[in-house]
Amino acid sequence: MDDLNDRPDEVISALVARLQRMPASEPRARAAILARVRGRTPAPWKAAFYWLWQPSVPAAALVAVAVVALGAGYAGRALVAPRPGLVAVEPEGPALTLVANPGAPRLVATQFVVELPAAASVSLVGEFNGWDPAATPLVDPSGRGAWEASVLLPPGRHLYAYVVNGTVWTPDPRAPQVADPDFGRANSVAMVSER
Amino acid sequence: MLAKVAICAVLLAPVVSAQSRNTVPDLRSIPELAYEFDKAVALGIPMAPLEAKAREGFLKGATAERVHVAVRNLSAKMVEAKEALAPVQSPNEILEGAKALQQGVPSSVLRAMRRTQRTRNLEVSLGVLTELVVRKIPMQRAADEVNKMLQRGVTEGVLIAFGRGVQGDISAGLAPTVALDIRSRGVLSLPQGPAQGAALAPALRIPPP
Repeated sequence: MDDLNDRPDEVISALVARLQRMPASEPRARAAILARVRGRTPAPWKAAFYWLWQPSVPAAALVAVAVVALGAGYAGRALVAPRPGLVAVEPEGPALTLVANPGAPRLVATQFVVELPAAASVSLVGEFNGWDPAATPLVDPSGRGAWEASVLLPPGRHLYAYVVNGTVWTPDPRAPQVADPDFGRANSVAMVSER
Repeated sequence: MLAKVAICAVLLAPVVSAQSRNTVPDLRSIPELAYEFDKAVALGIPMAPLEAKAREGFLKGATAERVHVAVRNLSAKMVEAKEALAPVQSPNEILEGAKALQQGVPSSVLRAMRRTQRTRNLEVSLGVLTELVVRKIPMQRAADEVNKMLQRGVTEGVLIAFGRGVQGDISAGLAPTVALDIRSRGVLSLPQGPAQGAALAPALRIPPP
């Protein structure tokens, strides 16, 4: 041992050199081994199953975050869901008439107002915007549930409704309604005219 | 293990949620609807109302089959309205004509309206007629009143005010025919304005000396 302690660098260098020397391998044998290893790659569904079955710390953390987020989302949705007994205000009359030129269709600025204090979002859908809930979102400037939007409409008869929280089809309860024989849920009717 | 089952639930939640939100699919991806849209282009009727009808159906939670039936019916009525209202003045005129037909107004009424109003856009008049029929006024009575007003050359604003008045009176409890009588007397007693006179009989105007 004393002898080794006297010459540590020399011994370690010799050991490293010995270990670094790899035995010669046959290229064909190496290729065959690699091919077999590749062939043993598990199917994606098996990999997912192994991942689910084997405990791992990052996955557990991800699960915890996702579960908390899901719980918070559902709790929030339950809090803001519309409840029966909400009052809605019928659309106000036209406030402004825009005439671009005699040949162009005249458009009347028409304001829609609805009182839905428990709603998180309200959209106006109708024939005039292709029943697209993303086209005309209402705003609640006071924050007290009085939702409003102003749209330009040609004079005439227009069918419309509100979509509350992206899910609930809500005809305007204070405007005349009309049954829908095609799909069963009533629409509201607005008769728009120039002043 | 429970945690991993939970993550599967999280991953599936958007799928379940999308079903309950009545999302509107890509309409063109449904072959039956794509066929109806292409047919509309070939027949020269506007496609936008058909797309809107499909979107309305999906938004209301209807099945694809039911949406297809509704779109097909509207398409057929639009073709019928286009023929009855020829020469049509605007795509919306065809749509309003189709809606009137769907409420039971026969195409002969549309033809009669066009005969007397060759150049006037009947979009508003047809909307008012539809509204009257929807409010349970007998179709022929409603058509007669609207035709009388058209022949008198009333403006669209007066027509809409008339329809809205009848609508309001019925909501207030009046019988539909009584509401119609009261409101039509009010409109027909109005003096004819210069524009109304011109629309009624432009050939009778005497040129200034």
